[in-house]
Amino acid sequence: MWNEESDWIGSFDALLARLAECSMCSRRSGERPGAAQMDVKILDVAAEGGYGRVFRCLDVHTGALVAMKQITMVRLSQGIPAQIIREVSLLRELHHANIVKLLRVGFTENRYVNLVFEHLDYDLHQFIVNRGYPKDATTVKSFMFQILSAVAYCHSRKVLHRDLKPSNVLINHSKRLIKLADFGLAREFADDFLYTEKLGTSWYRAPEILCHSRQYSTQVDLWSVGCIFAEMVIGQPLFQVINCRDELEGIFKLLGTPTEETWPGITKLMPNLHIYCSKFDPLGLETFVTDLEPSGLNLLSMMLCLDPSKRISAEASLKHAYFTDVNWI
Amino acid sequence: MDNLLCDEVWLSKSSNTFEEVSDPVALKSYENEEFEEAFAVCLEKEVSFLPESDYTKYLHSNNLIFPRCRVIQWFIKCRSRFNISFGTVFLAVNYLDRFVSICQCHDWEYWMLELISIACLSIAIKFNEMSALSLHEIQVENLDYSFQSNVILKMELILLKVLGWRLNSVTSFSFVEMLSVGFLEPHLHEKFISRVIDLLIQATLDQKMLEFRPSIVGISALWCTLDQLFPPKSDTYIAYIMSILNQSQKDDIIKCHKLMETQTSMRCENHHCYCPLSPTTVLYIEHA
Repeated sequence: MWNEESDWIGSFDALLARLAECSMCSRRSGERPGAAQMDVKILDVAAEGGYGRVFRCLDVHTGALVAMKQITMVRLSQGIPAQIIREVSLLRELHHANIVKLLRVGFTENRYVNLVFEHLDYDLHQFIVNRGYPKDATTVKSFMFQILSAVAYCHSRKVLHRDLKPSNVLINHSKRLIKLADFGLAREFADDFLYTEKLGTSWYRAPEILCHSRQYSTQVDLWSVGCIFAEMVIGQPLFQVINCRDELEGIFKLLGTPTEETWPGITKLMPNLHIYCSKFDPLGLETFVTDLEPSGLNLLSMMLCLDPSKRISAEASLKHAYFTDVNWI
Repeated sequence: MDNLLCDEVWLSKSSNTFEEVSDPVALKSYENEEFEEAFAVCLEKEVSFLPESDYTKYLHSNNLIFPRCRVIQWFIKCRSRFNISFGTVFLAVNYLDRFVSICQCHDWEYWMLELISIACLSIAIKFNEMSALSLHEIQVENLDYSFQSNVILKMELILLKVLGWRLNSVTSFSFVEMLSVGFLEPHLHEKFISRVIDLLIQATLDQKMLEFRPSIVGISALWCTLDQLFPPKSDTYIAYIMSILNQSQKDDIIKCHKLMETQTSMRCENHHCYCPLSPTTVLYIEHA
């Protein structure tokens, strides 16, 4: 086993030195000199989670507020975690007004990965919980349009987000600007590709994933956007409101238990469907989402369509009648 | 000297003669805006994932043609052992080529290339597959050297930094995937694609093919396979693809297709796999 003490490590270090000197490397990497130290001054901890911490920081060069996500690398035997590789590489090529900007990437003692992002004031979850949710229809419409613009852009670049939820939607308060964040579960998609089913937060998870399908596409993101839409209107997660033992039962209570007619292929996907849950007649979206204009309810029903093949796309959603009377587009 | 020979068992599995399919199914009609838009995005993106322009010359002058061939064959062996997709293999090759061409190191040793290759495959798997392999596991398949996890981790960091974390590469396989969706009935699709992939792998191992962009190689491989399996459909398909390309792209496709055809017929005549000729000097690897 060759290790750090072996003879060849001198050559390896020489290779590292050559790389460090290589002007092309720094040009290609898009990182400033000293990015390893991240060039930030930590102000406070903004959030903490299983992955690590998010710090509110000052950029030492510009004085601007930035957010630094520090992720602890737990399983070093696997090298750099896949989640970080995906998030950084996809954000490197997604340039859109409604997608959070990744400014720098760095490492500390080979144990922490530091991602420096532009700073935003709060997320949509905090906005809904702490501010009594966006009560005016114009804000809901504006937020929805911006979320859909970002999702449509991702899909046009063949990228699925796969973890859309209010806490991954960031807000710039003064500009009322929305930015999608947390691309840790995102991936490029291809037709007929098998993906993992273990993803996304269950309240925002599409029924095809809950039915253990590993063959899904852009429609999973649209389901999540529909759940966010409903939550902005009613002030709490739609499927939390419905009294049920799990998310799938909640979905079937709301929209009706699917049949081969309403969702072709469901019996193959879920052969034990009739055993798993009773046959529910749809309660209907309008029962729970009461304060939404008819065109909004229509768009919501097209997003929360059980059959993924009939679910509306992000591109088509942006052209929906719900957005026609808006002058800020 | 055994360890200098190309081990290409992976290619010889498919028969060398292409049997005729009497009634090929209709090819998908491509003529729609959405497809053309996606195709244009890929063409635009591929430019930013190419190695440096003098890459082939650089490989020659540093006697890296053959060692590169060896590590690509290692990727392919790993593919069957770990059941990873071909898409991942082509990503790993892209990372390798971009890294080596940017790095422009002048005293390569084979262990360096092996270490870089492990990092390339590891990153490609983590980017493109559902589950990752441990850095120990990935080294199980026929390597001359063995590296500790902390060394590979260090190499992964260097690789990502040099590539600017830009991993969503457009490869010849990306174009094949895009252009062959809904192409044939499922029972024919698998066979068709495996033939195309054979050609893509040969192209990847061939220094002459490095001159062509991934789109050119991908389209040429599809064209060659269609010529062999479904000749009547080939003209219609190629005519449409050509109609959405510019003149220089068309010229390149014709050139690449010709080269590919020549090599395929050579391979079929000789009844063994095509392998690029070894360079006049090669790095001899002493086993520890």
